[in-house]
Amino acid sequence: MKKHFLLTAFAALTLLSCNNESSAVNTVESMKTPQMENFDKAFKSLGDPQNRPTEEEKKRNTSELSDRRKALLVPASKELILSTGVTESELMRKTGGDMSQIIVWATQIYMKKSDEIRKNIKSEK
Amino acid sequence: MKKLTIILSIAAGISASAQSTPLQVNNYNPDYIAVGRLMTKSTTPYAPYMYAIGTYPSTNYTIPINGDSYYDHFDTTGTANIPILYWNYVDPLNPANSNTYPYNHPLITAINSTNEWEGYAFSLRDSNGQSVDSFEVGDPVLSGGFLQPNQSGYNTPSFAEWFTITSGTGNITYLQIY
Repeated sequence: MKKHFLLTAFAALTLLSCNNESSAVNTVESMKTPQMENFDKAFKSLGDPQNRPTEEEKKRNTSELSDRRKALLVPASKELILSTGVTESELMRKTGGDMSQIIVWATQIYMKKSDEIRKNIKSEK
Repeated sequence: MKKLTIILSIAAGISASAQSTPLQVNNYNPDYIAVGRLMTKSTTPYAPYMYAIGTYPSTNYTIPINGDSYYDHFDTTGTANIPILYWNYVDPLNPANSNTYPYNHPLITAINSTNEWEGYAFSLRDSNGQSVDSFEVGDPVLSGGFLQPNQSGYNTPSFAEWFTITSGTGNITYLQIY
């Protein structure tokens, strides 16, 4: 009987430890904030057929993103900046509402947050 | 030759205030990895230029499926999410300097202020390593028309582009594959 009890206890412990393990496996994807996910989705959406460069945009001899396509990135960029505690009026004062400044600022935030997530994952291992 | 070196040094000094633009790389393509040559260039003729050596001794730079990375400067690329540990450095005027250098070598630091990301000439490859499509995207002006900002796949619905967002507070260049 004692033997049985020990075996059961051991089995339960094994199960528990396995459970803990699966919950400890964090990926960068799973740890992104909703605002980071949306920011990533916006950049990914530039590849959707309707968002790809038009014939007119392709003819320009520059790699600068067109205003039409920049506009697709602005809402998610703003969301990401505001999620850091910056207020709408601060955002407007700092960027003057300039699309490029908003996107560049948000990209820098996204990069820093991704770096932090990667560091946290490394330190957990 | 000496005169030319002096002139070049002055030219380098003038542009030394500028730092290379950061590069954000995103491979959104769900099926293929990208393998190819990631290049940098100066606007000054005959100045040194480079290409990234991702996994030495392979002279290619590879982006995995769903891979992303951010590169601030050429001499910090070794610590990025997709590390570039070595650079192939080419100096047309001082061929003795042309070599493969670790990313944190002083020559790579020196090139931070003169070079810009130029583009990526690559192929998309399936899990067997077979090339399914090839692309040459980059800055059309810096590359002298050799590279184009975007390109559609010939055999697959893939699409690749190279674009910059320029703002008064800083510029970022993006390489995206869909």
